[in-house]
Amino acid sequence: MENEKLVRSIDILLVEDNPGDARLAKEALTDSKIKNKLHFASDGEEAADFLFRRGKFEEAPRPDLILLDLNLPKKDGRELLAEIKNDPHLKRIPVVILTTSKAEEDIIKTYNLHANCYITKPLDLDQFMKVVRTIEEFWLTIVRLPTVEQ
Amino acid sequence: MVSPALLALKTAYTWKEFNILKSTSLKIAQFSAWSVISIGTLTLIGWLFNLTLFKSVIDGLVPLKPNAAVEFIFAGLFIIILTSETTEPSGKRLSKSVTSLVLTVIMIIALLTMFEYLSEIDLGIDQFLFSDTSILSVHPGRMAPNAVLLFIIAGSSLFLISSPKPIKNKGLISGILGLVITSAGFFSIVDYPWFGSENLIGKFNPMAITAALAFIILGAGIFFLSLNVEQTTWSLKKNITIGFICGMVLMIGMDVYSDLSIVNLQDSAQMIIHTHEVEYHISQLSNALQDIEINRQIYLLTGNKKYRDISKNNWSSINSELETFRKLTSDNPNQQARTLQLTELLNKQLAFLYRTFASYESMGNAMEANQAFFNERNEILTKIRKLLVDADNEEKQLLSVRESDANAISKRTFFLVPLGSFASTGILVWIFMLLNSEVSERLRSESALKKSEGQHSKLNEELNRSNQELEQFAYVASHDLQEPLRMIASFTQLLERKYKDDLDDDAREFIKYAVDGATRMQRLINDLLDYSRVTTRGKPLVKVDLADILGMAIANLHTRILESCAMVVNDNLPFVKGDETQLMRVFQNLIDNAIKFRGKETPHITITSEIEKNNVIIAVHDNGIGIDMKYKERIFIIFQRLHSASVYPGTGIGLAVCKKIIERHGGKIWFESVPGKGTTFKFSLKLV
Repeated sequence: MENEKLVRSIDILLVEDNPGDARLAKEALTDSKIKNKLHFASDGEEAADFLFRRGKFEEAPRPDLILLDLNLPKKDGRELLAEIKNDPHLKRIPVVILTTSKAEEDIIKTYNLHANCYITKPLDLDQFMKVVRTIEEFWLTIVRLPTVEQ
Repeated sequence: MVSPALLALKTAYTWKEFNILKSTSLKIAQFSAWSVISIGTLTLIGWLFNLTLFKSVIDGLVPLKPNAAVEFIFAGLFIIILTSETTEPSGKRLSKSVTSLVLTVIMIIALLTMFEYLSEIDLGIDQFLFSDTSILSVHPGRMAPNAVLLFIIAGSSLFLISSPKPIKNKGLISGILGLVITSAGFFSIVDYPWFGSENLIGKFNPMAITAALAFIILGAGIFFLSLNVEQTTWSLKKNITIGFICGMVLMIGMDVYSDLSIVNLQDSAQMIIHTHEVEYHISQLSNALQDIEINRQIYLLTGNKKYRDISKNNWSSINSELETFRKLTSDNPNQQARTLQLTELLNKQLAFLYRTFASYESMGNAMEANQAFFNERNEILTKIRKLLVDADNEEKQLLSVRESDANAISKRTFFLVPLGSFASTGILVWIFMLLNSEVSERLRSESALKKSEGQHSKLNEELNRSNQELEQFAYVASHDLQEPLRMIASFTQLLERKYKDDLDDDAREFIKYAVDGATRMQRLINDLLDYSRVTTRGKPLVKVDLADILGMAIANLHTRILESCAMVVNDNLPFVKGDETQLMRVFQNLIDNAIKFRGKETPHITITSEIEKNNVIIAVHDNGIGIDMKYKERIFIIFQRLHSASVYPGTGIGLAVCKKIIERHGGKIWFESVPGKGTTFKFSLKLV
């Protein structure tokens, strides 16, 4: 098991409409100690297709962690969150909300939809990078998650 | 007469520009005062030198009493002193003490005289100045009771006018009292030719004709003086109620009075009939007596016994007449006494008659029989006739008195009833005008309200829309505007980091400016969002403890206070109506500013409170660098700064947010400062 974990690359799905943020996240995760593969979805529908392996994502892996922005084109982040948490196969995947909004109602609403945590994107570049790496480290090495059923 | 005057009075009081009227009315008041003083003085001279012309105008009329003359002089003096303008404070003090002394004298004389009338005790004040030997007076030297009453009314109205207290409608009340005095004087004068002053003599002293005149003038003086009184007015409701009660009382009074008059008139008419009846019986009595005499003589001359029987029979009719007379005049002791005398005399006469007949029948000599007791009989007859004439005269006199009484009552009724109805109609008209103006005013304002309500709902709609837009803007600002800025800042930073070695110093400097600008803009956007949220995200205002709130603010600033070694002390702080989070923000911003803008000394911050009616004024005092007072407006405007960000960091949001929060709480915020010494920020809040 230990070996497998070291060898296996971690799949992270980043749902983010802003390519700049996506690029920054990629930048942050590149230097990460954990071997990871970052998948992008630029809107809610694309992310849903990826998760439910529809269309071109037929071969898509099941992600180990989802980083989700709230304000997305086509399908809203909140909607997608509700779909994930209502799906028996997907609901155990930790979903980290990563957004610019500091609005109280957004925080309450997403936790009500069973988001695993809510993080406001830091303004500062260093802070942002640190946050992304911390998320990865925390959810993938510190937190104990159920083993994926085959 | 009363109500049109009242209307005029009301108009005069409500008329906004009546300065001309005011100065004229003041002159009239002064003129009346001088006139009253003259009447009083002349009367006193009259008493001193015993001049009938000055005392009572015409010999036989009631004189104006010395005490009343003194009262008039004092009342006049009071008005003169009150209207003479003194600007010096010492003069004002003097005139105030003199007027109160004069008023006291007026009231004391009037009240003592009133006491004399009520208690029937003679205090000796009536003869104090001059002795009155007039036979017309029941109480020599004492002024008339109605005069006493009028002096008390005059004194009260003068007291009202001169009182510095803001008594409601005091101008109107004293004006009405003045009119009452004038009307009473007028009625007294009218009473003279109509009813004669002797009507009251039985019980009271009548009012002198000069006193009546002086009261007319004095009342007018008080009325015109009252026009100058600064006054607060009664509410419409009170005016209507009082007007209604006055009208009702007047109408009921008139009704009772006319009823009583009718009863009196009926009584008088009955008494007149009664008197005529008595007179008739008197004449019947004397006729019967005459018949007896005639028949007696015929019998004596002819010897025909028929005449003797007629004469004898007439006696019975005399007795029955006398009995009727006695019964009719049972309430008159004079007539009763006469009845007794008549009975006695008539019995004697009857006895003589029988003796005459007896002697005639026994002797047959008519001459002799006639001559016997001639003198006695004649004497008795004369007496009887005299008594009958007296009785008749008394009835005649009673008749004339009763007729004049009836006349007086009907005259008075004819005069007073229309007057009363006129007055009550006037009051009704007045009430109608009040109600009418109020109703039309209300209708007007109602339609105006409807109109403005329409505009209001439209405005409300717009306001709601703009509020929603603002909310949307806030969200856009917080999210959508932040994103691109973050991109600019992040990627310029990334650029610098990744290509550090390829960039020269200039490039690095430019990158620094770009990053600075972007971050500052982010902060500004956040502040603006904050500022807009004071109203859009404010919590309802509830009872909160300012002391707790200050405690929380100090706890939040813990690190800053420790770093700067600042000392923060505070008074007892009250409970207020407020939003806890926002008020904490106010304290936090003000204390933070006090620390930020500190001088060379360690910051010393004092928070005090001062209660003022329903508000509390909180003061946050510091010993910092101070603020030039010329910035007292600018400092509270959002993003306005007095120092460059490099010296004192910040965006210039703190005080703008404080102002917005305090204004949301219905308070005010301002400051007092001496540059270099320190600043005191003050804000007011509503107490619970």
